[in-house]
Amino acid sequence: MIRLLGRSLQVRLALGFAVTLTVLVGGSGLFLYTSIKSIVYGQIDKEFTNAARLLVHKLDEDHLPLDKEILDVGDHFLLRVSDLSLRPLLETPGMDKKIPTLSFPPTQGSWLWSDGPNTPERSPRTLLVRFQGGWIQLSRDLKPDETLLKRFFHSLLLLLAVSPVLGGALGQALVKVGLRPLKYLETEARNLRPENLKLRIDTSRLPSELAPLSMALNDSIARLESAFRRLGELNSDLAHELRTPVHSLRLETEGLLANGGMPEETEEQMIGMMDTLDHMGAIIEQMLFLARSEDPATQVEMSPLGVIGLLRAVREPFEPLAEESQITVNIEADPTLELLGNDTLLRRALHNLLANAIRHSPPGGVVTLRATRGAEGLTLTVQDRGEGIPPQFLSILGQRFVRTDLSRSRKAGGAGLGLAIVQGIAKLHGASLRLQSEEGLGTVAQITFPVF
Amino acid sequence: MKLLIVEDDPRATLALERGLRPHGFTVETALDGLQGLALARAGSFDLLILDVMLPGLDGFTIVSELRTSGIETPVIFLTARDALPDRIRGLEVGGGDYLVKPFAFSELLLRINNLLKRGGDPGEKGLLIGNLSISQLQRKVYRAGKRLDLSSQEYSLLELLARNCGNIVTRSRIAEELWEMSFDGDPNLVDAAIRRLRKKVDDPYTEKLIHTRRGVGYVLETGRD
Repeated sequence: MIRLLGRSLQVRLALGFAVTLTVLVGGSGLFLYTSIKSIVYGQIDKEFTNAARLLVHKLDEDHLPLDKEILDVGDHFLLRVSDLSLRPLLETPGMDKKIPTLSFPPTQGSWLWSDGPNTPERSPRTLLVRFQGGWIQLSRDLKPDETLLKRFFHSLLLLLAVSPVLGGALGQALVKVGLRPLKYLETEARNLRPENLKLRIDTSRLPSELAPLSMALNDSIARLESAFRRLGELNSDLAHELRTPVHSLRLETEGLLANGGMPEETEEQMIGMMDTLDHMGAIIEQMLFLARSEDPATQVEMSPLGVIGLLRAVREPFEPLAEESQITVNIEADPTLELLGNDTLLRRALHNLLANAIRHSPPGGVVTLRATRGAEGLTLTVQDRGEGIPPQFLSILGQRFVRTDLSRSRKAGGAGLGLAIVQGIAKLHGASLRLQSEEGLGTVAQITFPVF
Repeated sequence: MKLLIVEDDPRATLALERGLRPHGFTVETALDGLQGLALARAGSFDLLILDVMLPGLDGFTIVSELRTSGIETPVIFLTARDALPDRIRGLEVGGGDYLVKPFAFSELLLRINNLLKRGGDPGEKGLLIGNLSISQLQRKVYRAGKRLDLSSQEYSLLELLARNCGNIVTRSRIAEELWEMSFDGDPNLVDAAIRRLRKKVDDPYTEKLIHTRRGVGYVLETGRD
């Protein structure tokens, strides 16, 4: 829970919102409550004072008689007029049942509050005022005011209870809206691939707070791009540099062999050396080919090709070998299908795929070269029913120097660059390579050309 | 026969020189384009072997310079595989032939012999090697008077070996001539094709004509091995 709390920005911000809103509502509610309370009671006390003053004035200055008119001091008040020894002379009817008569007069002072001024604790509130002929006792029932205040207080409590939920929800919604630019940043970052490192994040579409982050990201991409380019250049430079010495060594070895006169064992060793040099030469050429296929400046000459002719040309070199291993290579294609592409490159790509398929087919196996036209475009398929590729290899197969079976492929002259080359050729044609395999059932390699 | 090799890699130059001398060639070498052009102008060579990429002056410029001066010496260009458009240019300049690096020495030797005897015996219509005879017009093959039933691919392979009778034909050359494979294929493919051909051409007979030059290629000849 704590870890979840720490990791989700949304949860953290929503929680923060909830706490803040609760404290804010609670604090301001308490303040409001106390000030309204003091205003209400202050007002009541003022009414007490006014009524008492008016009464004292009426009795002492105007010498009005003690009759029912005197008792008219407003609906809220109960009035009792007593003599000096606190014997009631006149009172609001029914007052004796609610407010007991005072048994002894106050010893000092002429104004006396039941609970002191401005501290109305208990209802009813009573004010005792001295006039010349005795005491005036004003009382008021505070219950209605207390009920009002209590109701206000309950509403505040309800608000306080709701505010964390409200704050949380509000926070969540705000965060969602606020984080939308991050979603954009995410999709942009997701689109970054080694082949499109030219891409930069458009900072104008992001809020200013995210500008430093996106600029930092763009800087990293720029550094990656240049590192990638240097790596590519290094690869191709390396291959270039190695080509000449490997070539010279091969010529020298062949020359020595041609001169003859060596013991048979030495001759065997030198032939082995030449095989190795041939292998190295092939890897170098393939690396240079890959470097060129990745160069954005590379353009290939394309022409319309008959698909069935292409597939037949690919199969032809394999016929003797397939015959020996009793492998059947079938071609399934509509003879009218055409494709815009580079003949040599496409033959090379399909050659590599077919070589793999035959290599992994058991004697008596069937390999199919197929061309189909679908909604995605034209698809060339090479399918075998061999042992299949283990899943852990399938995803890394397009990478360079990856081989599923080191001993065998190495012997057959493969450098693990075959599929990388197929991928490079597919890319030059705007096509995509897809590999599917199931262990024990075989492998399907597909190159799909978009429809033009 | 006098040859000039212009190649900026001294080791390769030396290897070529050493390889060519035993075959009766007089070899001169130059390590850059300017020196190469000067030598080609001065001496009368039967053939030039020019690297395309040279310091000073590239191979094409050397040949255009020579041609404008009226020197028509045949040329074999040595070119890198990734300079593919160069191939076409090389032939347009009127070079004669080209070889893609890395090449086998025997391949170069074959091209040299072809170029030097070019014009010597044109229009071969039939080939005879031992008791094997090939009729190129009819695309038919006979051995000891008996017609051999070859597939089109088998015939093309045998004819290729026969045309270069006595010379080694490399596996990459076979792949290129037979299947137009200008890329590195699996050498096993050529080996399998040869095995199939041998079954029909050599296996029934005591004298074998197709011989393996291990690590290099194949040769069709009589009376060896």
